[in-house]
Amino acid sequence: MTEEALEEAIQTAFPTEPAREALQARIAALTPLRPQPLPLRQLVKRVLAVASLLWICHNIPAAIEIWTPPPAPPKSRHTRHWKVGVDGTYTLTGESWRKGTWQKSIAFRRNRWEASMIRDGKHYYSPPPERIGSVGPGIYNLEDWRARALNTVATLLFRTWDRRSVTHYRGTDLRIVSFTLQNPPRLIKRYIDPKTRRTLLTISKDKEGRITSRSETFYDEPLSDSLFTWEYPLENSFVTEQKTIVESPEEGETRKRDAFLRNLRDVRFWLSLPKRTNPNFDTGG
Amino acid sequence: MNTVLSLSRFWWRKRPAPQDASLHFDQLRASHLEAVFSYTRRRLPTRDDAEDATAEAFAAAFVHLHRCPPLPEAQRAWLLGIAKKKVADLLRKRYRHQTALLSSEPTDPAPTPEAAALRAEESAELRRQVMKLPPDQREALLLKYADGLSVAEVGAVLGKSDAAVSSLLQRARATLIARKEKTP
Repeated sequence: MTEEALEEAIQTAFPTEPAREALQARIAALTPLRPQPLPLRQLVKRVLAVASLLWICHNIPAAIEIWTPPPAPPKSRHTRHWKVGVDGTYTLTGESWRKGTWQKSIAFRRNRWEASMIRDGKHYYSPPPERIGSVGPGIYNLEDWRARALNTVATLLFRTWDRRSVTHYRGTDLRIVSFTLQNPPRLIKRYIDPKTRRTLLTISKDKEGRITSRSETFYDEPLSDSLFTWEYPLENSFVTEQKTIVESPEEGETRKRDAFLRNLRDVRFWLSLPKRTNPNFDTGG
Repeated sequence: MNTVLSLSRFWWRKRPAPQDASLHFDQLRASHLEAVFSYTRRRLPTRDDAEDATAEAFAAAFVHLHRCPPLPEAQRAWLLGIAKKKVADLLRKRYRHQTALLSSEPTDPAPTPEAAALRAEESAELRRQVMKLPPDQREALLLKYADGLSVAEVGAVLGKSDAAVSSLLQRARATLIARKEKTP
């Protein structure tokens, strides 16, 4: 079959016919489809509608976040706290909270460090146990659904912006919340992990901007039974050498009596333990 | 978002003046209406369908007149490209694609009833063979031999290069000839 024969056969098999006048008139009657300028009122309405839609949409992630389940409470919490005195020295205290109660561990003997160490005019000592308050995780209470729904609507409609002052601290993006207190006048900055809403770092400064105290808190997640390791702060390391303290006879007597009572208390405490299973038993203090 | 896009398009896009557009469109209609209608008529079973598809194709061309190429040959290919989409839309809406062309009746009158019957039988057989071709080959074949387009125009309608169109035509011809030789 030649190409001409194929063309003729195809034109016969697929016939056509001339267009009618009606179709020509129909197409000729097409009018230009040019968009008419919107009235100002309509234009404002549309712009407002689009802006509202964008506003609500950009708040959707924050609204969804309200309904996410709260993070699991930590299994343990360890805090170290520096308090800077007026003479420039600072004291270091520590707290350890584990499994809903204060953990008696060999690292923190009865929640305190027994040793009182002095280096370069800086005192490291432990506070009495009764001064350490019992702090449980308080942010994990479930809000009721009404409050959540109200917060969702309010977030969708009225949320303007979060406090976006975020710093990077030890592998975590922390949100900074700062507030001032009047008596004594001081500025307190809290560095909060926005994911878990836990305060990880608290720095308090006086009027002149000098740091008066600093607290760092470490949390152990429930699934990890981590071991808390103590890090000594501010580029100082402990030495076994201690300064000779010149004390009066009365102070000496008081110190000896306190040491005797402390030793007695220690003995009574360790004798009260049913079994010594801790391999680090003799390494503390 | 669509509102914003349409507003921005309305405010910032340059378009031809209405008088120029109408004049240009009249020229297009006068030059290519027959070609577009023939294209749609060959691919749709009834005349009304073909007229609908042609009207829709010209309406779409009227809206997007600023995209019309300046050369007349390219204009025909551009219009047929629009008509191709409109035909596909209409077939999808109203018919099953495979049965549409097979059910269309030839309008070509024959001199005698016997010749007419013979021609109708041959035409129906050729139509069946063409419909069995792959879609690309079928469309290229019809555009080339039924609508009389050049290879370049066929490529413009199908969005393919000249070499690809030539290859499609070659394969379609070979298939048709082989099938014709097989049939007694």
